[in-house]
Amino acid sequence: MGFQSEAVVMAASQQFGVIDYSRFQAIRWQWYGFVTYPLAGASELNFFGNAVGQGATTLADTNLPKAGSFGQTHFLVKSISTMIRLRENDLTSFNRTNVATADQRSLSSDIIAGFVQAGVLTLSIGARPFATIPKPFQYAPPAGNEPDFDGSSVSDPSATPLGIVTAQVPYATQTRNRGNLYRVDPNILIEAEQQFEVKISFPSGLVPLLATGLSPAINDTTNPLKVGVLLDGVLLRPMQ
Amino acid sequence: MDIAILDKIQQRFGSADFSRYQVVRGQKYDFVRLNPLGTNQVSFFSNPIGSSDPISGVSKTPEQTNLVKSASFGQEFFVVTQIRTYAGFLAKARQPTAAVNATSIIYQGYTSLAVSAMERMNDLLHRGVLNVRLAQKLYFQINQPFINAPAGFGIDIASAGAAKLAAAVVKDNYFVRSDSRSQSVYNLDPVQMIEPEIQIEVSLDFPETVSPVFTSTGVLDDNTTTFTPSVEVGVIFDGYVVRPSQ
Repeated sequence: MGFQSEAVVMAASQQFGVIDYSRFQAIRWQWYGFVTYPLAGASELNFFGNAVGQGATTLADTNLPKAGSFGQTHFLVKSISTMIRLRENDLTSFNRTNVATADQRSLSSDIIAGFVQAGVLTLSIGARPFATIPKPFQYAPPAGNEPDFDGSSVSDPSATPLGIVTAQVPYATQTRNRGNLYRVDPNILIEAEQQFEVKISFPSGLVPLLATGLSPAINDTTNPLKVGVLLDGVLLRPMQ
Repeated sequence: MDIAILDKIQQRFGSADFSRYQVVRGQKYDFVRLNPLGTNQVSFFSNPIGSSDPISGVSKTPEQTNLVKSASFGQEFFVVTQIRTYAGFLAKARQPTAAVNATSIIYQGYTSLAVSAMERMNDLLHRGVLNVRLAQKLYFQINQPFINAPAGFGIDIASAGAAKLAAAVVKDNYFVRSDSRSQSVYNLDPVQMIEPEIQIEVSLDFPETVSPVFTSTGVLDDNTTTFTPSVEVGVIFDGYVVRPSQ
């Protein structure tokens, strides 16, 4: 049997197909892509470049079914977020005995004076730019909230020489204000199989990680610092 | 050539459809270096991507601006819904070499002197007048723009940390930043549309005296060496890009 027109294909699909393309289901959905932020920094980080299962990419890194597209579903983008996670974060490395290298002893350094203070995010669909966001880790913060953190001051009167004191473990995060969510308004519809690209670039120069003195150390394999981009919105898929 | 013919050719063979427009959220932004010696005026949207920042001499990239043409947003409409201003220290990796090589300045370097860089930053955030002119006509004049039109983005610091090497006096550490809540930004009502090729002049003026001086205000971890931190100030118009469909 030879199908010669779209109408014939549609009729055959309705009679014998497993999917009903005339009716769509809408559900809230988040697509996310994490990549390792290298110790030495990177000129460009490309998110959604790998599908889940591709290479060493697991569901912790992405839930994308196909590199660079949402496969056979449409997606209405309602917000863009960036995220940061470290598998094992050493909070106690910042202490009196290593005050001389304090900048290397807390991930807060990278939030306060590291890559979070730099970069530009671009979202392109079919090679056309749809978003250019400066300082994206600040301008497009996470959709959720970091845990609460409360610290107390510490001083050591027996320290030698007197005066070597560390007070308070530093703790900084991306903003916890959910009102700061970067809303894509008007929404953007990315159609099925449409190629898109999300990347964060540092064209003004690499920004190496500052927190190099943690234990376990941040490295690109066993304790990587991951940065991610999350697209929140509505998934539209045909009924079955 | 008759304009009707040009229209037909464009509709048939053109790369953009000028009969249909697409609206997307976007920002027009420009970050420039603040003169550490102090200045009476900082100009924005003067130097597009690829040109040099007048103070640092460094070539501007999309990290600093998305302006492709001096003093204009080019061939697209832009609807301004928010004005945001920003002031902050550059990332440590982009500070002067002495600061890049130091291992303990974030939690003491900016604040440990009585006259510290962080104090100067606090002064900066309380000063200035922002002037926005479109086609040489004044449209917005915002006093203390870092307060009345804050950045509306930033980070949360739950605990600032503090560290001090071999000195009798231990000082608290502190960070001063513009308000990071997005609801605090300067919203425009009614919104302001900027048509293609309209001349844009944006300046941050310090009429009473020059902007805070940042030269050699931070002390490094040996407590003797000083350095001049690099400070950037920025203006961001948040709103809608209106451009022809493709």
